[in-house]
Amino acid sequence: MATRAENIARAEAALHQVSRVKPAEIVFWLAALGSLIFLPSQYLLLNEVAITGLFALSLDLILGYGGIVSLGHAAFFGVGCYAAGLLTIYGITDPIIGLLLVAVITGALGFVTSFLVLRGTDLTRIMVTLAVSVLLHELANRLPEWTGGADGLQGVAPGLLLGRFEFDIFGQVAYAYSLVVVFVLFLIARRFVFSPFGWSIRAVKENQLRTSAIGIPITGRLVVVYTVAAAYAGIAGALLTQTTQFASLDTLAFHRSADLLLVLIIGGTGYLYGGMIGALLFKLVQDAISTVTPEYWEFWIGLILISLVLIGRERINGAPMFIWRRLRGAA
Amino acid sequence: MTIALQTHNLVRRFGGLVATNDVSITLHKGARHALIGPNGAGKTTLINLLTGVLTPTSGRIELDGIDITNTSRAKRVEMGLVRTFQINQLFPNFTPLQSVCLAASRRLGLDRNMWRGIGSDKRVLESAVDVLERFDLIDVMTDKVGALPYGKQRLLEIAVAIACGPRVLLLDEPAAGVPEGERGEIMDGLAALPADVTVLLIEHDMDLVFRFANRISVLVQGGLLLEGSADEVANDPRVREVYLGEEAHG
Amino acid sequence: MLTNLFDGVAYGMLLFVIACGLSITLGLMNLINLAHGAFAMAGGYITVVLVNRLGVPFFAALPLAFVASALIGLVLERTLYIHIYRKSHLDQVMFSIGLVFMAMSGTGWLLGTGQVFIDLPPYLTQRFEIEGVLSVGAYRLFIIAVCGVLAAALQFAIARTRFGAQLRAAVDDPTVARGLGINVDLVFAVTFAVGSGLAGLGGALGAELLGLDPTFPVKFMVYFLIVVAVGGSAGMTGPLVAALLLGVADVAGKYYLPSMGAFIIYIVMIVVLLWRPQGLFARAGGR
Repeated sequence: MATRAENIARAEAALHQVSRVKPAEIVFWLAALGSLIFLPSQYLLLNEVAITGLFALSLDLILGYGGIVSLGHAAFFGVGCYAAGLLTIYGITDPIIGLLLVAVITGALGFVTSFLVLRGTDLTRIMVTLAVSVLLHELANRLPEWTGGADGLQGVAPGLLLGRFEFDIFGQVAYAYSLVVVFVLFLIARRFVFSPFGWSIRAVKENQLRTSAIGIPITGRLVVVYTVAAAYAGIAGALLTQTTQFASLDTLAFHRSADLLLVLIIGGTGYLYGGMIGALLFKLVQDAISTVTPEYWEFWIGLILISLVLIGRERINGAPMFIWRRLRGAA
Repeated sequence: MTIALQTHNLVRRFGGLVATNDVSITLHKGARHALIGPNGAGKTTLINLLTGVLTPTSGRIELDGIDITNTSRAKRVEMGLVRTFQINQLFPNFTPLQSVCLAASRRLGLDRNMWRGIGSDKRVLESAVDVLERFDLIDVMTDKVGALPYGKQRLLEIAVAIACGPRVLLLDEPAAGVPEGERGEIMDGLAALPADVTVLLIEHDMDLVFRFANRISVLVQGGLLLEGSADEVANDPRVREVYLGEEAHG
Repeated sequence: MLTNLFDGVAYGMLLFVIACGLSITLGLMNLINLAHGAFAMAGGYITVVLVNRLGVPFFAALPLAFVASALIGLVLERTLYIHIYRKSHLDQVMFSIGLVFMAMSGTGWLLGTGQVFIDLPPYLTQRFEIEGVLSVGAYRLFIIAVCGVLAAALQFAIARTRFGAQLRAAVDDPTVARGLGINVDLVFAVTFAVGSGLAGLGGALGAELLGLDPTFPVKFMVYFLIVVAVGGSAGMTGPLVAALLLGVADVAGKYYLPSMGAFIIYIVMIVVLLWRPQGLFARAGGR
């Protein structure tokens, strides 16, 4: 029979075990750092992967942790893109200040739309999220004075990063910048997810009835996570605009949201790394398909999606399950 | 003796059906009160009314003397009215430890914390371990809830409710579906409930009821047939007829 | 103004005919099928090929489009959809998106990526004028007539026929329905096929009104979803009312507020959902 003190110590250790930094995580980030040092020819590609990874991470927060199926997450990404671009055009050129402002803007948008999104059934949720993103896409299309319309936003000119570094065409500054931002946001998300608040979000996904029976106000929690996810997605969009000096309607298109779901499904939901791993895998697959059939790659993506679903996501995750377990720990 | 929970002429109609018919119950603090009745008598409806899942058509509910008839579900839990479910409502992929810690965090008001880890506050840990020990779940506290034997899951259902720090606990058929060999654990669990918690137990298992309760209310077709001590109810011919009559048909 | 009302009703009826299949598969099988628009597209393209390339008369092509789309629907249902009924809504969303991507890409490869037009018989392209009151296109009149008949037939079929009764039972509770000896799988298959067929017919009718190209399913997906979400999946009345409401609102909006009129539909949707999150006519269980 263990004593109370022993049990408490064991409990503390068990809880800590889940949130402890796993060796696989360190390997992951070292590899990321290594890519910055050793793969200069791939900077542009890697930058895209990092940004998509952050975007997917933001979706993971609401989908993998909160259980909210959103078909319009591109809305926040696109708004982030345009907002970041417009900020530089109207004089706020410091990239980091731009990021913070964009986070506030998209976070506010997420907050406002969350009340619509969180009511009703799965179907109304899917429809509302889709409708909001289509609405924004249309809005951007019809306001060319603001958005450049179908041509995209012209004249985006971010200033020097930290007052010293210019975004050069080789993309080194861009990738380093994106990587650092993603890393910092990831750390914040990691703390959030293992906090009591984060656990309550997971509880909502596990069993909504039980969560409310404990006295946790469900809608309030989901509003917070939706707002945070919107801010993260906005920052990802801002990064894209700042590092490529361009924003286009494509960032608000439906296929962005659809591709993002695919990215997250490939990488796996609910353990934070799924977005980034999925982004990398998706990019590789996308490039591979594009070289073979550039016009009809949508067809193959569709086929992959159908296969993934029919085979079963749980079984697909069997292969990266090894990585998964290593990154997630015991629980 | 203080009154912990009281209903006044509680009525709930669903169209033409009267599911709860003028029910007035009084629970004193620390009571061990059972609610029995044949299937369809309206026991779960009553619990849903008490917890706020359903709103009464008429009547009042008071918790510790405060009118809670129009209080929200979350607020009632905060005020100390907690229930368990007849069919387990647990977190299948959590561990018992994590489940109980979440409830304890909520009780201690720490659940809105977005920064510190869930196990970092000693009070949460101590509270969780106390509850797990009390219900003999300490050995399985790091197993996945979904993998636990059904009896242990039922105990966890009660443990999570206790971790919420209830003043009044509504137990909805805690022994439902529990195999014969594991019923003893449930009875031990019920015996382990803190003495100052007022308990309303809904059960079909008469063995459990008579071992646990000192007062029993009998609900039939939404209305109270009678209420009295365990002996009074056990010997009342009307109660026997209600149950035996049911047996003759079913 | 009456012209707008008229056009709006035509548009709404069209939306209804296409979307009713989506509504009923959601209500019946709890299936979120974002690929529904692809069946409409299929019907449209089949009609294009039949009329433009094979010289089939328009009125004969329409029922053929219905049958063909219904068959495609039946085959897909029995081979693919049957596996995802029990999966999560996320899986269904992913699956149907995948299907739509393949359908759109495949159609583009087969029949080109530009917009296609059906060679309509000349008497359908006339306009009738009542001086100062309204101007009515023969085609829209035709659409209202056909869709009206279809809607009435659907109502009748669901309310008065034996199959309709079985359908309603299966929607209410599939397990109990099975227990009563109703062949729920057959009900599913037939309903899915008919819904796809109607979508195909709607697509054929709508090619002229809505514009048909390989991006059709994605372009109009939102509208079908709005009709179903606003209308609720409790029966036929909800989506019909919702479709008419949205059709009229959209046409009127685009006429009176040319630059921003397209957003009226979304505003209506938001207002309705804020007021009634389950849709205008929701079923008690809430799906």
